[in-house]
Amino acid sequence: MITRIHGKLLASALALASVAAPAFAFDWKAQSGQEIIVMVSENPWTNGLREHVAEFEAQTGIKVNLAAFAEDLYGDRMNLAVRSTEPVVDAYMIPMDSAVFEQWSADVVEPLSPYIADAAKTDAGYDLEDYPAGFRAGASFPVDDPAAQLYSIPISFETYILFYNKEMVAKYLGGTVPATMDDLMTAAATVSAAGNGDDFGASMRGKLSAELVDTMTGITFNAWGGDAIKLPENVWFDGDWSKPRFNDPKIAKGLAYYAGLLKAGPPSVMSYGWEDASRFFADGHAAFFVDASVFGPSFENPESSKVSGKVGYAPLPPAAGDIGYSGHWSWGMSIPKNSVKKDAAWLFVQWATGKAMTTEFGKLTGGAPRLSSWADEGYKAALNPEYITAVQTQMQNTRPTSVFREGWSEVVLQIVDTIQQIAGGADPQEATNALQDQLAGTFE
Amino acid sequence: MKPNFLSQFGRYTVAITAAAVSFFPILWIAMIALKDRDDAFAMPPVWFFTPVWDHFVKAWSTSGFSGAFMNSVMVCVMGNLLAFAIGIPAAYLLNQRRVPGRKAILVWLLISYMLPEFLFVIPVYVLYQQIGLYDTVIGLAIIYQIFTLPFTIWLVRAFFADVPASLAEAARLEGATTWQIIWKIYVPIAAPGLAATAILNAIKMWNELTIALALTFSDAQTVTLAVAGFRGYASIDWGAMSAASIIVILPMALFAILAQRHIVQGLSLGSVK
Amino acid sequence: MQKKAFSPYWLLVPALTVLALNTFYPVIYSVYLSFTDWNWGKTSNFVGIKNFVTVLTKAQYRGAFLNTLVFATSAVVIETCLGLGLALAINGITRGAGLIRTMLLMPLMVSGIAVSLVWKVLLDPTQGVINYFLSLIGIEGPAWLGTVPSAMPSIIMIDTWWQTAFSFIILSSALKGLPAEPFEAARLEGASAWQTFRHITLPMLKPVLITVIIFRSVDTLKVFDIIFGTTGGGPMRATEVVQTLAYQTAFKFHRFGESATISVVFSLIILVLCLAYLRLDTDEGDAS
Repeated sequence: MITRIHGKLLASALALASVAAPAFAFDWKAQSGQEIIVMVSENPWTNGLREHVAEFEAQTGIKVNLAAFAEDLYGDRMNLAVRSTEPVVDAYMIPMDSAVFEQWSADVVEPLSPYIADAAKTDAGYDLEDYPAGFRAGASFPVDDPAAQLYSIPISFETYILFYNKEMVAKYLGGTVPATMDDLMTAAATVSAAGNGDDFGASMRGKLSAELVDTMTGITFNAWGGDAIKLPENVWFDGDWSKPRFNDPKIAKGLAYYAGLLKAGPPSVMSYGWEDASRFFADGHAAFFVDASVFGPSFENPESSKVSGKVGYAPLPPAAGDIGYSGHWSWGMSIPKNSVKKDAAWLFVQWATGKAMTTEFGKLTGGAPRLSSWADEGYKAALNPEYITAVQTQMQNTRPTSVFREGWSEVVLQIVDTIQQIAGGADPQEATNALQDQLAGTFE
Repeated sequence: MKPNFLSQFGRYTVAITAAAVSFFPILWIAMIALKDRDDAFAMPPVWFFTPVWDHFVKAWSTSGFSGAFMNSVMVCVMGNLLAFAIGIPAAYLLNQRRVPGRKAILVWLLISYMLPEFLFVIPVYVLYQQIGLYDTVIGLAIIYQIFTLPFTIWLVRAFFADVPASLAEAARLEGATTWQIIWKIYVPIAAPGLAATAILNAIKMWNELTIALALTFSDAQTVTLAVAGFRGYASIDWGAMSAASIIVILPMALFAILAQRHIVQGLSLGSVK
Repeated sequence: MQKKAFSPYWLLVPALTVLALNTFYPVIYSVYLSFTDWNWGKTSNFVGIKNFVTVLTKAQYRGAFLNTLVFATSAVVIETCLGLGLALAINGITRGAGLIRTMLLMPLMVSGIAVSLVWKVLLDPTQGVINYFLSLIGIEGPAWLGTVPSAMPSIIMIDTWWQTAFSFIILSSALKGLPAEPFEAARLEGASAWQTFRHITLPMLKPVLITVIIFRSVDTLKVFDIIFGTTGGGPMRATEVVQTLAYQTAFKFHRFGESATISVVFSLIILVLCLAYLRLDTDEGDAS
């Protein structure tokens, strides 16, 4: 997917260069003197924004006030701000999944397509085609409608890959990195059995929370294999909300993989959020960690990690056949309908998602969503080469993890219950049969 | 009064054990804040290390943290002032047993205290946005009266009950108004109890999470929310987060050290009639 | 006595105004919401008692109400007994009592979020210091927050650490305020320590004990921060309580009508409990 679009990208870059003189000059200063509030979640991307935001202020004369919040509480505050009848913020970070869908349903998020189409509001060099089509589809509503509008623009993406501790793989597994998901299960169990309560096969998020939905979905995609999956229902329904298929053997297998990694984890893994799971891996206690690629740069930072330089990166090992499938997910930038400074906000969104800044911020998140960034030498030099290879390989076989349905996160918690049951010893097929019965009729 | 069923040795054993158990977790988080990343989570624990103060500097200079700290101080001061200004006269009156509806009011106060936070969050959010109290310190101080006011009235009423009625009677004969009697006679006598009340109120307001989460954005963000802010995605800063937690505990701990005697004295004044 | 013409009711007006604004409006609004299916968006229809039927019949809600009750009962009983025991023990101490009381008060100063943070670190089975200490004396520590049978006891333990000081300080103050004469008389009559405690101390402490139990019952029934910050209600809903459910239903599932219903039903339950406690107090509800 990446390589195919690379060619296209090159062609469009050349085409752009040849029309270097636009019909009329786009004015970055058009909203000079305005002051906007941008709401962001604490994230490596946000750290990058803090460093560079003065450049935007100088370029446009717009003053930006950043309101940054912890991930935990971010979703609630974002919804409070965006769904408010009074203006609270002018631009905001949003998970490009059911969150943006629900805000679109509630009619509180501004469509961005009209701004992009307006030559007076958008610089001619702003290249939307530079994003993989799948990324844009995740925030285009109504789903599958030719007249769909774009409601959010990706600022970073993550895909779910295999992180491994090279020293532990050498010590316990003779240096062999598992080649299939079943091998991974065996390898993780082997390490935990031999680890004497100090070293464990895996570290995973296990806490009852909707936070683990994307990793869990990515692993389920891997078990699902190459068969088609349709949005908005995603893998969980057979193309129709009235046809849940949580007890499909392939889904049972996917959830069992997740549960298998939990089982090979430390004893309190079921109270682990991402911060605990990633710390456990970064402290060198776990051989494997399956989670978002965005953790990569922090594992390579000696200040936050004891395993820097010792981490291996790989796409998810295949469950069957030769290809390991996974999921992807993005943060996006949107503008709330209640903002009264939408034009200034759009200039900000446009700048923050432009090619230069996407590449710059991507060095921190390890997941620049623009294809042009991945061709950038500076970007490649900033990241671990193995990491780049693993993410790029994985990206050719990912699908969006989103489900566009009000109330989806409640179902996620029930799926997490099922995973916890399987990790606790329940038979995967029986557990997913029970889940299927429990959810039958929920979405009709 | 010395119910001597425990020997002095037994008492000290219990007391020191309990004090150690109470203090250890706070000590531990202080140690995480003072260790570098490698030692912080090492097991067996690293007991001797050179303290690193960087995390404290970093926590305090993190954008918004010192502002949030001041906001919390202001919320505690304003919340207490408001609770006392309206609670003390009410407590005085409710202490007069003849007041009709007295019991109903006391139950109403208890209801206000017991209502779960999520009953308030959305209605008050909607209201505050319309009347301009959203994301303001004063707005928080007002809504916190749901628990500070009942707590204040219940306790102050008990302290006032211990003030000899003859004092008020004498003052009234000399022409003092009720207002003067409250502030010139009752309040000074019950001062230790009022101090204890203010401290208990401050602790609750300082540490409140749910309501502050819904009713503040950035201008009036409180320090409890700011501590949670160190949990950034994919990059949690354990050292700075622990340091921030210690900074947040400090003012309250200082309170405890300075005021523990007053708390006990104050509360003992009004506790039994 | 007060002069006939003087009406001191104005003293109540400011307090009652604030009280009314802070309680009537949210309660009425929430009761209204509880009859709708508002989804934080465009949908908001009157649905009758549908939400109440859901809240009162769904197994998940029963589980959460039951967990809340288990947590509150255990925490209140343990903390009150422990607080009383500590108050009795420390009251007889002369030297260093101030320092010990200060240290005992410390946990009360920590916010629920910080409590969660530190206890998750302490209780981690592999990286935590508590299981390390246990291993030194040859005990293999449990997985604390990580397993179904141990998660709720762990939360109760955390709350005991956090809030026992509240019971301790109030009861300790009350003990100090007790008159000396009855104890003197008991001593002269040769009463045992237990008899003194049972027949003199306890009856005199009863009003304060009831106050402590009421406030702690209300606080523990409303438990949220320390569960939100540690287990999130898991594993397998073993620690799911009413407030975490009300939070999720509103802010994660966007069913504000149903969430309001949870809060309304829950308020009624707490109210009944409070009134029952007040009845216990012989002094016609004067539990101070």
